[in-house]
Amino acid sequence: MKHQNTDRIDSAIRGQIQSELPQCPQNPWFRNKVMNRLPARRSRFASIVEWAFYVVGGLALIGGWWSAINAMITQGPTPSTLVLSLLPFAITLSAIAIIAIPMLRRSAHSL
Amino acid sequence: MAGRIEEMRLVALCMLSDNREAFSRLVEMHQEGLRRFVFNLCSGDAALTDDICQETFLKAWLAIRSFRGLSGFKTWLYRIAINEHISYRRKYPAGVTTDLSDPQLTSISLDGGQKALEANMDITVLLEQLSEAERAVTLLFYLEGIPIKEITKITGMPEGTIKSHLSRARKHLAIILDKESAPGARSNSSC
Repeated sequence: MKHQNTDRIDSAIRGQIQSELPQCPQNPWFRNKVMNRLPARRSRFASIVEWAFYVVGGLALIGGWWSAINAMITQGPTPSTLVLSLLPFAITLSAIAIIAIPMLRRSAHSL
Repeated sequence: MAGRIEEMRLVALCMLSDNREAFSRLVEMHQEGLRRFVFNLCSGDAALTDDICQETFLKAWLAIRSFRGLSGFKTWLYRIAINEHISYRRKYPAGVTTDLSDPQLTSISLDGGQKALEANMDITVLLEQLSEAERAVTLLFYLEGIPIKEITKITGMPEGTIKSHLSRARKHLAIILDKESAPGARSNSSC
């Protein structure tokens, strides 16, 4: 019974609010202002070049890991093979940090 | 349902191909409701409303790829708007009461008569008496018709807190209903 009464009141209040509360004054330029504030479009050519570099870099990193592992297997753990292994490891960590940190920062700032 | 599907299609276009036309369409779909909500949340400040709404849409565009689609796009958008409002209030705490003679507060009048003007001012004045959080919850529930479970996602408040805010708002706003049902009150009910 109390629940029905609350629903009735809610319905009445909702009707009043939806009809009586003021609308924001019209702004025909609002959508244009929003669209103008969006960051500039990225050039398709720039995106292709950027992705080409990512692919080449990725392949180079895979090549580096392959040669480091290969050297470790064939020559065993010598100072030179250890240094050779550390290089792709360090580059991989840097690449992960460069990609992941902005994403984490954006996620933290977003909802 | 068709509207929801269209909205999902537009969001997918924005996420996958940075389609600005699709985003423009989303802005068009949601701007009126969002601006009205923020306008009443900001106590009738039109300039602040536009600033907050523009920031909201801008942040929505920048973060569109993080939208997971678990809640509706509108829910997500309103959450951004409320966070923007909270950030603004942290920088500039509210201290000025609403100017009741401001014509923007009485811009909508159903019958153009004095009683509509009074009802309009009554609702606005009553909303002003609520806290920011209570006003936000009240507007989301009554103005936007958003269910309580969605409001928890928008505001981040527990369900119990939202119900408590609504209960207080109901007590305040029921005064309008008492006035409306009193003898001599205007007859055009909008329920």
